[in-house]
Amino acid sequence: MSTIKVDNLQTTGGAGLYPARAWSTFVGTGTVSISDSGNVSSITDIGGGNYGINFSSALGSSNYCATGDAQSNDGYDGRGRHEPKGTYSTSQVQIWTCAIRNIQSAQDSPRVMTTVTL
Amino acid sequence: MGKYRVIFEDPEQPEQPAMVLVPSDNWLEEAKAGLLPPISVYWALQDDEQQAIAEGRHDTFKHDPEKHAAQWTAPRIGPLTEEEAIEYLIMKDIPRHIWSVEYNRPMFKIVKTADVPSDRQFRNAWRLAA
Repeated sequence: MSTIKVDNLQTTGGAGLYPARAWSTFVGTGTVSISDSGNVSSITDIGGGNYGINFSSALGSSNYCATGDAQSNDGYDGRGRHEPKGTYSTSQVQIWTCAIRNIQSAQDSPRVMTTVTL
Repeated sequence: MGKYRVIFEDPEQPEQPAMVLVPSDNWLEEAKAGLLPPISVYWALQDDEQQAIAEGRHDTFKHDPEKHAAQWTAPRIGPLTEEEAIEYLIMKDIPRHIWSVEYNRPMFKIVKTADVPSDRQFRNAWRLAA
């Protein structure tokens, strides 16, 4: 396998390309486990519907963008909700998940998907 | 799925339930292959960020490029066993005050994955048994 090392990625037209710096898909119910990930060393199960994603390599800046989605666990909604919360450190982003029909309270999700770009 | 989990509590947040550190299998493979830098590389970055938070400039914080690059340029520490990798991960991903300070009871425990309850009912009431 070859490794390509570059500082900037661009299209042939010169537009910048910004690949993900980290991503993860994990099971937030039962025994929490990471299905697959990139640049993620661990998940911290903080409590019901609350998780921390720890990066293998710290990001260069705290002004990154973390987005994602979560599958609902209540049998009513097709989708859940995923929101970053509190900590935005270069080594961890914290998120919480809930069902769309009850966005007031955190709820475990059977599938939490997160992408981090910078 | 890795063999171990780490359960810990944060003495600075006594109302918070016990937390569970779940290692990434991909990261464990890197650790076993000897691809990790010395833990001091991460601590230097964490110290710089904590300093920025203390000084109220975290919103615009960027790591020193040389220290940041050390994550890839520093000499690798060599292959670790899974047990050694878990110890390394504790020092990397669990806040330092939890494992480096002696309290009147243990604040973290390494357990087998199978020993973590899979029933998450009352999850927010979990505590680390003494």
